[in-house]
Amino acid sequence: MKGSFLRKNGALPLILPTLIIMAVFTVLPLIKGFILSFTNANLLNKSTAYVGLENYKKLFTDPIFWLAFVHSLILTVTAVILELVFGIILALALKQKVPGIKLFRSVIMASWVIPVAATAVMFTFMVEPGYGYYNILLKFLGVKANTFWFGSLNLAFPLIIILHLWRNVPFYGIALLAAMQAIPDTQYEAAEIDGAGPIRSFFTVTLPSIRNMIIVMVTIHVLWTFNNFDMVYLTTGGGPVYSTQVLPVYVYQEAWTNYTTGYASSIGTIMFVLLMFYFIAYIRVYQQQEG
Amino acid sequence: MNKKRLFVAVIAAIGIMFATQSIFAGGSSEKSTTSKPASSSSKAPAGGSLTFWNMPFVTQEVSPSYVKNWEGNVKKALSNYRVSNFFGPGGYAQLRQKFLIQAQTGTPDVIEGLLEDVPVYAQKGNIESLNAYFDSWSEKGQFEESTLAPLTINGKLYGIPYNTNARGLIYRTDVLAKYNLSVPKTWNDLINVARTITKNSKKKMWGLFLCTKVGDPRAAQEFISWYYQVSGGKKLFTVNGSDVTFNGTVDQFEKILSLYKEVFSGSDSAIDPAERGNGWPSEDPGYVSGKWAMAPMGPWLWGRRKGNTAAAQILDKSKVAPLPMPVGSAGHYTYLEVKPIMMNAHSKDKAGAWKLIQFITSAKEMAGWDASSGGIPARKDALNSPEFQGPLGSWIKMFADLIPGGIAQAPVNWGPVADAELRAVNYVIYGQKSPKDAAQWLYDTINDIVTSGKIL
Repeated sequence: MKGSFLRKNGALPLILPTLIIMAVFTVLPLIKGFILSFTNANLLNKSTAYVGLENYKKLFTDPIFWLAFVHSLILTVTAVILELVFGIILALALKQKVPGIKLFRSVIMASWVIPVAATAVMFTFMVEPGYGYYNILLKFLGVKANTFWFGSLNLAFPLIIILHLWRNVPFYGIALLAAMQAIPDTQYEAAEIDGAGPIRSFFTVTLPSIRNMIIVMVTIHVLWTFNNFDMVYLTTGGGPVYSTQVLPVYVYQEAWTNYTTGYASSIGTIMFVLLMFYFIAYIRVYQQQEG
Repeated sequence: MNKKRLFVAVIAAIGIMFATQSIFAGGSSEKSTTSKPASSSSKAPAGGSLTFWNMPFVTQEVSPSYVKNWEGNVKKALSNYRVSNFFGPGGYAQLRQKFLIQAQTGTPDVIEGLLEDVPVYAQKGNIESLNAYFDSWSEKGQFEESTLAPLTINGKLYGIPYNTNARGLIYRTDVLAKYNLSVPKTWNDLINVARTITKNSKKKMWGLFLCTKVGDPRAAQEFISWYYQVSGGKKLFTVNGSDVTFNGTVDQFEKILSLYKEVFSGSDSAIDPAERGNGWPSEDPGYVSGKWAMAPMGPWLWGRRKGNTAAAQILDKSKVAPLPMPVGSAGHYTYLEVKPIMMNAHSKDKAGAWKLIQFITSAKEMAGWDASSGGIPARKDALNSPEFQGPLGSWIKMFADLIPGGIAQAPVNWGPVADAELRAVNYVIYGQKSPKDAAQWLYDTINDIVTSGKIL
C-alpha cells in the first residue's frame, strides 16, 4: 500500500516541505500584507480598523509615491538595459583566448561577491569630498569636481545606476559567457562559409543562441532592481530632496519612520501587482515566441 | 484511504509548521545566541539568564577592552545570573525595529536607547514603568533630576539615565586667534566668522559644519537646537495625556531655514557646499582632521583622541561655547540628550532585569562607561569619580556647563517630524524652495503628522 502511494504520488511528499515553508514564509506574509493594506495599521497602535480603499486612494494622490514610482521605473529600465549591453560586451571579452583571461574571469566576480552593505559604504567613502578616491582621481586629472556625489541633486541618481552596474555587470558577463561557450563552433564556421563577418555572426549566431539566458537574466534583474532597497537606502536614503527616492525605500520609511504599516503595505501591494503583471506578460510573450 | 493520506499530510504539515516557527519565531535565532554566551558553561546559574541590548558595545563607541572588563564585572556582580555577551543588532535604528517587533518574546530583558525611543516603546507597551523599583532604591538620590524628568511620561519613569549631554559650539582657539576673530555669539556672528575663516584660509579650512542628511539623528538634533533658540526654550510639542499640541510657527521655521541657507551661500561660504546632504560620519572626523573650524558638538568627540595624535592636538586647541543665538533670543537653549536604560515589560525575569539595570547604572559602571565614550554621567557620585578628574574632567565640564540651557524632547514619535525638518532643510540648501516656502511646507507637514496621529 505504502509503495503504491509513493509510486502514484512520489513527488508530493518530496515537495511538501518546500511548499509548506514557502506557504509560511512567502504566501502568508503576502496575504497578511494584502489584508494590512486595507487597514489603518500603525505599529505603535494597539487597535487596527478596516479602512477599505482609503490607503489606495491616498496613494494615488501622494506625489512622493509617484516620484518614487517614476524613479523606480527609470532605475530599473536604465540599469537593466545597460547591464545587459555591458554584460554582453564583457562576455565577448571574457571569451577571448588571451593570457591571464582565466584569472580575470575569477577576479571579475569580486564586485558581485562583496556584500551590498560593504559596497555602499565603500562607494560612500570613495565619493566623499576631500579624501574620496574619485575626487582625488578627478583632481589629479585636472577636473574640479570636489563634491559629495551622493549629496548632489544631479549626480546621486546616476551614481546609484553606476553602483548597480558595478555590482551586476560581472554576473551578466559570466552567465552570458557560459551560454556563449555552449554554442558549437560549427555554427560560426558555417556562418563564416556563408560570408558572415564577426558582427553578422554575432547577430545571427551568438545573439539567438544566448536568447534564453538573456531572458532569464533580464527577468531576474528587473525584479531585483525594482525591489532593490539596500543600495539606495544605504547610500542616499532616497535623498537629496527625493532625487533618488524609490518605492522600496518609501515602503521602508512609511513602515519604520512613520510606523504606518497599513499604508506601507498598500505601496508594497502595488509593487507586487506591478511585478506580477510584468512577469506574466514576459512569460506569455516568451511562450508565444517559443510556440 | 485518500482521507487517511490527507490526514497524514496535514499532520505532517502542522508538525513542520510548528518546528519552523519554533526555529524562527520572534527572532529567537538571536535568542538562542544570546542565551548561550561563548564563555559560559552549559549549566544555567540559579538566577537564570539575562540579555542586555545596547548600541555602544556593538558599534565600539566604547572600546572592546571596556566591554570585556564590563563582562567580567557583571559576572561577579550578578553571580546568580548568566548575562549574555550578545549585545543586540547594533545601531539604534536596528535596535528599535527589532525591539518593537520581538519585545513580546521577553528578549532582551534590558535595552539601552535614545531619549526619542522612550515614547515609542512606551506607547507600544514594550517597556516597564520603573517607579516602584526606583523609589525603593537607596541610591536614587544620586541621579540628577534634570535627567530623570525627560524619561518620565505621564508620571511614569520609563528608564534610568546613564548618560547625558547638551550641545555646544566646538571651535578652534588657534584658528580664531590666527584670524583675530571672536567666539561667535549670534547667528550673524557665526556666519561672518565662518566665512572669514573660509576666505582667509583660501578654502583649505571651512569655517563651519552642520549635518543636513535626511535620516541623520545628529542633523535632527542640531535643527531642534536652533528651534529652541528661536522659540525661547519652548518645546515644539506640548503633550498632555494623549493630546499633542504643535507649538511651532512658520516664522520660527523660516528663521532657522534662513540660517541653513546662509551658511551654504556666498563665494566663501561658511560650510563647504560639497558637504550638503552629509551627516555625522563626516562631521566628527572632519573636525579632528582640521577640515572645519567650528561645529555643533557633544562630549563624545573626546573618543577621537585614542590613537590619533593629530586629533588629540586639534582637540587640545579646542574649546566649547554655547551655541550662537539669533538676535533677540532670550537665552542659550540647546538640545539635551539623555540616554536611558529600559526594562522590557515582557521580560520573564523582571527582578533580575532590575538588578542588571542597577548594575549598569551604578556609580562605578556609569563612570567607566561614560569615561570610555565621552558622556556626562547622570549620577552625581559618578561625575565626581576619579575617571572625571584631569583633562577629561575639564573637557566634560565645558559641556556640563551647558546643561542648564538644555531642553529635553517632548515624548512623541519624532521619526516623521525629524524627517520633515530635514527635508525642509534640504529644500533650502539645494535651492528647491525659499526659506519662507520651505517653512510653510514644514509647518503644514508637521500639522498633518499631528492630525493624522502619526506622532503619538
